[in-house]
Amino acid sequence: MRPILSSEKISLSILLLIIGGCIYLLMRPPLLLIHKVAWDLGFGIIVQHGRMFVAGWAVPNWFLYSLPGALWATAYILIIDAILSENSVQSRLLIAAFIPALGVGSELMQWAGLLPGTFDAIDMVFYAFPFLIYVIIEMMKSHENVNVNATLFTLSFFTLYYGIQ
Amino acid sequence: MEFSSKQIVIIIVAVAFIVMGVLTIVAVVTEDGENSGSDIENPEGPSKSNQSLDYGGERDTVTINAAIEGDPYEELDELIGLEAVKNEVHSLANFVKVQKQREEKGMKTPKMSYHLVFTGSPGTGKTTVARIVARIYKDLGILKKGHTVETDRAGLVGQYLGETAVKTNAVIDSALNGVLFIDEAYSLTPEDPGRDYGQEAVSTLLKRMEDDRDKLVVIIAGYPNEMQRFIDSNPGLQSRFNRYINFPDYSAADLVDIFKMYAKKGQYTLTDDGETMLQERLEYAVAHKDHNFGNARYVRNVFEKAIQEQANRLAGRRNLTATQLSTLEASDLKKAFAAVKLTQNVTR
Repeated sequence: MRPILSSEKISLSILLLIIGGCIYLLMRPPLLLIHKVAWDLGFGIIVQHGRMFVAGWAVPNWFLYSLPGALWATAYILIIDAILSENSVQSRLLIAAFIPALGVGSELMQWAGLLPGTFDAIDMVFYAFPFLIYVIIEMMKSHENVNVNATLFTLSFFTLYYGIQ
Repeated sequence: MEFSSKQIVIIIVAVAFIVMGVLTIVAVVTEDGENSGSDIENPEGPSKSNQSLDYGGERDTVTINAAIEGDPYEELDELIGLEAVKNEVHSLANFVKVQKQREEKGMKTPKMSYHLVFTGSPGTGKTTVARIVARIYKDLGILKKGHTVETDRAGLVGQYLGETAVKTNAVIDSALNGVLFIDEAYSLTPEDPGRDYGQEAVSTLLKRMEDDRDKLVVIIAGYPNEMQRFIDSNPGLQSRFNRYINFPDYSAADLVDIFKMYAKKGQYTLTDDGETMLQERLEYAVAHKDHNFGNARYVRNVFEKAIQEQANRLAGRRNLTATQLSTLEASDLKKAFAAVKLTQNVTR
């Protein structure tokens, strides 16, 4: 399998962000800043129609509340991987850890009562999961004994696949 | 210290992702007054068609409003301000009308949910618009009666095991073929539930919304943040309530208009000094408002206090002219504003 190009990683990243954004815009109560921004940008009618379209869908809680965080973290890791493709593994891992760490950190702060919101261990796992996969892939890459690109591509879609299910 | 282009790109990406995260976490608290509308509450008090059920609390917790005659669309349009809300309600009505016509012609129609979430501060007209929506639903053939049953936590939740379901079912029974309006609905599921029976009320409500889906419409109302927490707390609520209407806080100019509406309906006039004071004090009130600012309810309280102060000023005088009896002076307003709290007590 041919290597995944940086442009493809960035396209996939944008796709994941769009999917995550759609979950917020179409399925979450429209009281978040993202909804106001969408309306201000002129997408209000589209969002309203989309919300009516998905109104009857029954989705599990993790899809609604945890998956967007995982998609967000995955998108960030893919972009960083694309930008820093020529850098050392250590620097890539360090910078790629930033957003997942922010997500995990915010959950921990919620648990400690330092941030408003409800602590959810599943959220934390979903934030951390893409980074763990990324670490595993990098480790496997360094050993050069598996088809890394195929694994990367498959695992990038992991959460998305289960989301659709 | 200089950054390479790659480092700058990484910083931009990281910041962009943080901004995206913030967009999905931060809730819109309140809108400022630029799109403010006005109150519509009846200055003459509750309608004669109201019927209250007292469950023994400090105040009536369930109020039944019969659907009054008249054109609800016209009443909606007559409301001062509230332009965004009016557009939203008209849009909803138009959508339902077209879908009904499509249905009559055997065409596909999307699955419609008529339940609504009204978000906004106290006194922004949520209850009044709910009454109008009930009548519009009747006009559209969605509801047979179009009355509203207005309640809150105290009307639904009992103090003893098993009492909640009985209470909630009784209130829902009274709302069948009309609208059940639950004010401050978020208080049904407190953040620290403990041994609270609010969740039982929510479960009962959800079951009845399913069982009686053709004859029950539920409108839940409250502060934006709290309503978000409430709806997030239960997937059943998320799937049933997908249409939101936000009621922004009123601007000072709208509040002045509301005061004048109360004055006009009550056959009172303001002196020029009084009007200037009214504007100044309401501008101050809006500029210094907090989360619990009572909006039109605050203005109504000020108006009621002002006419009381006018009566105190005129008491003891004889041969009063009609002008004296109908004029509110700056001194009346000054005392009224001093006496009325800027905020009101609300369940939080």
